[in-house]
Amino acid sequence: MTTYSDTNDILADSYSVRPAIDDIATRIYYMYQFLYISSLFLIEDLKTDSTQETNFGRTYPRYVEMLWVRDKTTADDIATRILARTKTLQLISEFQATIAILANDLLSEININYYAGPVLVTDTMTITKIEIDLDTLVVSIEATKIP
Amino acid sequence: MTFAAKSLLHTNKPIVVMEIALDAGTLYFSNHDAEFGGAEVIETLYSSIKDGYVLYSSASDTFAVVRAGTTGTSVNDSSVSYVGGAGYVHRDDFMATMAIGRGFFYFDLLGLAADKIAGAKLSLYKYDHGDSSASVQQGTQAGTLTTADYNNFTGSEFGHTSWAGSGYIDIDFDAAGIAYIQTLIGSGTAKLCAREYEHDYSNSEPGTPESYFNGCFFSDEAGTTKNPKLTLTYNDARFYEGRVLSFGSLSRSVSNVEGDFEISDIKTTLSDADGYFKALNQDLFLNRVVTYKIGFEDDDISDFKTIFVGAISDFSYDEATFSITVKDITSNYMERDYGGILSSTDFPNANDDIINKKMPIMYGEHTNPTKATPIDRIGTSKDGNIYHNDALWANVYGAATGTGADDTQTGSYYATEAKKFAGGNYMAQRSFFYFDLSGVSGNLIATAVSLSLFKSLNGDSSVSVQQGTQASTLTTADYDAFTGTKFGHTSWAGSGYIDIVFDAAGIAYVQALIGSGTAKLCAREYEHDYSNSAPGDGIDYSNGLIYSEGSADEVPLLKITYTSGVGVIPCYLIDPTKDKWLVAGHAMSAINDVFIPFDDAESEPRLVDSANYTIALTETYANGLDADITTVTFDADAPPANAVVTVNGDGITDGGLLQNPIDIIKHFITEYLSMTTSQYNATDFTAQTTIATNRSYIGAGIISDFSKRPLEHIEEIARSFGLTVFFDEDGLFTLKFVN
Repeated sequence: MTTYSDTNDILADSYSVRPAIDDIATRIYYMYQFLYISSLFLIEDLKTDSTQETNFGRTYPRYVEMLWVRDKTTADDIATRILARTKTLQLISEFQATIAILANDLLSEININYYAGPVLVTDTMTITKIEIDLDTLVVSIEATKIP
Repeated sequence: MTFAAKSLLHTNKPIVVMEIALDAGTLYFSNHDAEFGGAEVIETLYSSIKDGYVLYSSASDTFAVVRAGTTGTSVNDSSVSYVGGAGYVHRDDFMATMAIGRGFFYFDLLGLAADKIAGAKLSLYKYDHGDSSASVQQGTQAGTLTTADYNNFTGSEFGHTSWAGSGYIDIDFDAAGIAYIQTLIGSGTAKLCAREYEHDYSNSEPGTPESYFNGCFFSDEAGTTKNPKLTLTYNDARFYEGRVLSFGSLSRSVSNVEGDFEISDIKTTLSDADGYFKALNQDLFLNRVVTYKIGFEDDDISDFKTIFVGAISDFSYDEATFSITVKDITSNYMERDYGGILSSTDFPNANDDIINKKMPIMYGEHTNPTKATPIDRIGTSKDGNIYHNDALWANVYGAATGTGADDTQTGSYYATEAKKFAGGNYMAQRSFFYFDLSGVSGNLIATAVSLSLFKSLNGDSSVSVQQGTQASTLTTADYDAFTGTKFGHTSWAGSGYIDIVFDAAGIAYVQALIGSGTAKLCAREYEHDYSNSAPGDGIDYSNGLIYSEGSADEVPLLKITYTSGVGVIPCYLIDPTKDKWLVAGHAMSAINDVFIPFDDAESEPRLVDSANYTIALTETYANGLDADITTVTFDADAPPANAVVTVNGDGITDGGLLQNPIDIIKHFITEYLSMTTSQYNATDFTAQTTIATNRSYIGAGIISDFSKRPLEHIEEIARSFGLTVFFDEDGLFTLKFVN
């Protein structure tokens, strides 16, 4: 995994971090075993993280329709993974970089070194957006911190 | 050096280029005129079997005459090898013979692309002698060698080399030789002539006696390991015309939770002051693939990194510019038509709403739990009781005729009873019931049956039930109108309705009458009457019940349980005359259950007896995938045409039932969208398949809503499993688990 630095590869004053509040989910309602004749799911289930709901002071529901899942093992595993990823507040980083960053593609994982105040932080992130100005060759990146 | 490392360290200016792939060739553009070096490509060609040699041998002619001769004395185009095949000069003192031999070769260049070659060499596999050097030059020989080809060569040598080595000996071509080959690439046959270099080509008379033989193999040698060969070296350097005024910008993004992706269009503006684009056929542009690459000034073009592959979705021009809008390449793959269509030609009897309908595509295993559903049949008002009274128990038990009968009871009654009056007679009382089953669907499969009687009075012992044989109107003659052993018995200690559950014989008896007849049943006191055990003096074993003349919520019921439920997969009636229903537009691996409405089209679905239908898992039909469809044809118990028919079953197989969600997506894009590995990222698919396997993920679903674009179906699958799908920087369709 390549490490990029805000003092080298990241363009000056372009680095910012914001919370992905819309992506929080402490309660996963998931439905599977779709019945095509009635367009209804036969089974509904729920995964919850009560600790995080206490921490947040409220519930954050997410509704997941598993149209192509019919068995409980698969459905439970997927719901568990979604909850594990979304139950905490994810951070989204945005920055501009040189074309060196194009060695990665969407969903590539990279390390970012940056100063959060006086502290040097290294975060592992998944690239979710790549924007290239093909005339100036400035690359804008959006990446989500991996919890 | 990879792009990643170089882009970090390199100081040269980065360059963006674009390539537009038209049918007639590729157009290359950049923001300034530039040529970039390319990778070396090597092409090896073998001489045709027409190759061979021509020699001139004379016992009287001088070296000069022999060398300048126009017609040889001998020709051979079928030898496997020859000691002077690469050219020889021979002077024999004893025979006073002067001889010169020359080799001729043919290389077909028609099938090659007209790329610019950077190098060429003739390689001949040495045979026997290697006395001097051999040269090669352009040949002008006929298509089939004759002695007249002895001097059919022209120009100067392309190169020469010593024949002292072994194996293949290479003669590298000079610029003239390369130019000669270049002119023939894609259009003709290169003809070459090999001559002994030091004396024949150089016109230097040998001494007496002197021989200079340079042997080689020809193409008549089996295989190609020793055949004459021409090796060409290309460099795919390209010139990029500096017409780009603005490349525009590109944005690609994926969701890390939802499975969808977005790709922006790119709008690129090119200079057209000379009217170059406007002069081209505009139809050439729409939907053509455009590739954007990034690299550095001194790079080979093969080292450039592809950053976007799209297709031209729109274009416009004015006096000086030509602009194109490049859309992500999903439109080229993900808007393709897919799935087979039911034609009126093939199914002329099908209803109009079926014709031109696309056939469902089914993946994975589809099951749905069934449930046991009861129907209750109310006994008819002819039910009632018959008793016999006698001093001897044996006469009570075995009597053929009762002492009295009553089929008009409106309330409770001591319906089954065994009794001995104190100091007096014995008595037994039996009840008879009628249940009309003719109105029940004849194809209902009974899985359980019970006689349910409402207890009214005493519950002194147990009650048994068995097949009755009573007349349609009870008389005393029906006192012994029963047969066989009991179907079941139960204690009468409870209250309300008490069920007497039937055994297999009882279920079979009822099943045989469903849809056609009346079930007749006889209920008897169990411990004494049925079991033939005389009651003690003064003891009454009576078990009261209510007959059908009673209130509606207390009447006798025959409870028949059958399997109901609904299949996951809806079917389409494709041939009403044959009661044939389509399940899927491809071969399936199994159909396990078929469900139709209980009675009319609106009623609850029930399981159909598998004996009543025929499954065709691979019925031949040209419009199906691989010319197969799956059908169910009802041989009996056919549902009405407007019924909902559903099935459970297993879908497409490909080396086993396709259940891994990645394999399902891969099958859909390759079989229905005709995508190849040049259009999807096979490496990513393999990696994600492994992840899905390790997680034991199982997928199953139906593609039947053909109003959706193919990509929407794929995204539905992806969202189900926490997958994100997108097109990568190379324009390849790919996917990854995000959780």
